[in-house]
Amino acid sequence: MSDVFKAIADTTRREILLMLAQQPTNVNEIAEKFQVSRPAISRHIKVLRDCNLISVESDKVDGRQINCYAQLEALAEVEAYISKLESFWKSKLKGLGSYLDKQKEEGKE
Amino acid sequence: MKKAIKFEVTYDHPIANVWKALTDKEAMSEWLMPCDMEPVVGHKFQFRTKPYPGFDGIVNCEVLTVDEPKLLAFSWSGGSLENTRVTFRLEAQGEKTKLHFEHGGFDGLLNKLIVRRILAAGWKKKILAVQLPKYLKHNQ
Repeated sequence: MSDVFKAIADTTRREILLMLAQQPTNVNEIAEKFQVSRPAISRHIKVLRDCNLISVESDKVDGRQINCYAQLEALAEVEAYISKLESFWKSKLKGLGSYLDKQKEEGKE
Repeated sequence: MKKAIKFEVTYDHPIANVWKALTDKEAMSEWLMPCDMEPVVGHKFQFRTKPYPGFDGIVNCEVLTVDEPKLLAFSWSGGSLENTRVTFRLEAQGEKTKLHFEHGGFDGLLNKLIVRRILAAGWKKKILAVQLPKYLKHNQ
């Protein structure tokens, strides 16, 4: 089994992972973003792939493009966390409106 | 995955009143959570709410930007969040005020959860003894 920890201990690989976590991206776009050589990116991709942190697949339209996808169970957890936080803020910002209305009614504005 | 939580809300109140509600600790304590906030850059404060499993109920914050009456930003660390950033940007629209709200900086959360996943995945001994200290040292 490959060493996952070693895989994400590398800053570039962690950034690639974070980038893919936001959206699937093809290898060329990753290489452009990090301004390192295509072979170097391919090596990083291989390390991430070997420990199942990402999956790769040829593009359905342009077969020469290789798309990369993050596959982390942790992502689902982050999504859930952020979505909870989003509800929290939504309700608090509504509460801010009620607070302001109340201040006005009480003549404090 | 979302990079940031964003909301735009228009309040039927002048900008000065909205600004006051965002920077007065009693107002903040009422509409958001009990806190000891002061609108001074560098001021460290806490929000305190009811704890639940995995969260001690405390959010540690530091005021990052104060530009009366347009911009307020503070850091937000608590629960699984470390060093995220909350920003309130106000825009006067006659007697109304448009709020551009943003809470972002979740990359650290992802890193933390990745690490947690890995720790749970059965390499505990090696990781705790060797890799984790190395990793933490590397990322200081």
